[in-house]
Amino acid sequence: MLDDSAKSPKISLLQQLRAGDRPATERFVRAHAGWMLALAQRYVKDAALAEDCVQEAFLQAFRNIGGFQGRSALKSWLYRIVVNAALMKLRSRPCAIEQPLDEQDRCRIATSWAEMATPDEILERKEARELVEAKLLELPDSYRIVLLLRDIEGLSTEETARLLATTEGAVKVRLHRARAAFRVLVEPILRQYV
Amino acid sequence: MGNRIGERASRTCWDLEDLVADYLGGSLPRPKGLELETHVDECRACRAFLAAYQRTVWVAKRALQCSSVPAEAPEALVQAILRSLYR
Repeated sequence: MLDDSAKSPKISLLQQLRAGDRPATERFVRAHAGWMLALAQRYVKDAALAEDCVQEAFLQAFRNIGGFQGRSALKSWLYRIVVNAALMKLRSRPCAIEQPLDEQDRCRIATSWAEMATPDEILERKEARELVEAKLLELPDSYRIVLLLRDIEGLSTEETARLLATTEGAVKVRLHRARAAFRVLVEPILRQYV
Repeated sequence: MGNRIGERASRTCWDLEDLVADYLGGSLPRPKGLELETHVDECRACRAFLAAYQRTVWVAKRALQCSSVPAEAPEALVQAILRSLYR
């Protein structure tokens, strides 16, 4: 994995990428394409669409690499680019009719959930985490995206609303419902491990 | 039905449900935040609701942020990316 955290290697890598150094470019792509693909797939679900997102993200990154100021790590910068590429891809898709969830009593998250012991050890298991991630993909797009942006990426309501071209009120409602729906999907899995 | 205190508590329980994300994020106007904080101290159901809500957020973060290192990207994708960059 390319280490771009140390000052000298970072400057050197950037210079190489800006200069179009092919071996450096290839190393860079190979170092980052894997995690970018996994990240894109959380947003768009479809593997082929996720690959498109990653390809577009690299194109955009290299188009703008001359202006990269180095205020963040290269990886953080790429992270933002691929998330934006995924959101653009979702926006450009014809609106799919999302399978409605049965929302009766879902919004008030059942309190028994909080009483269930969920030691850190359960979520340290790769199998448990993979099951939880699979459940995330079962959420309707509108719920999954807002959950990712707010709870995983840590964006504010305002930032999320801007990215999704919607209102803050809509983001809040969607997030609330997304969390409740996610709990319903995930609780049976975690109970297996208790 | 219900006395005045019961009605006030019920409205605040619903307020908490509607405003829970802002409440936990500390972005409510101060008077409202204080009102809800006082209510949570007094209402066992709302304390339990908050705990459940925070548990959901925690599970999502813990599971997704601690994901194992993804596999390498397919070679075909890497080559497609490189071709498009070198065009």
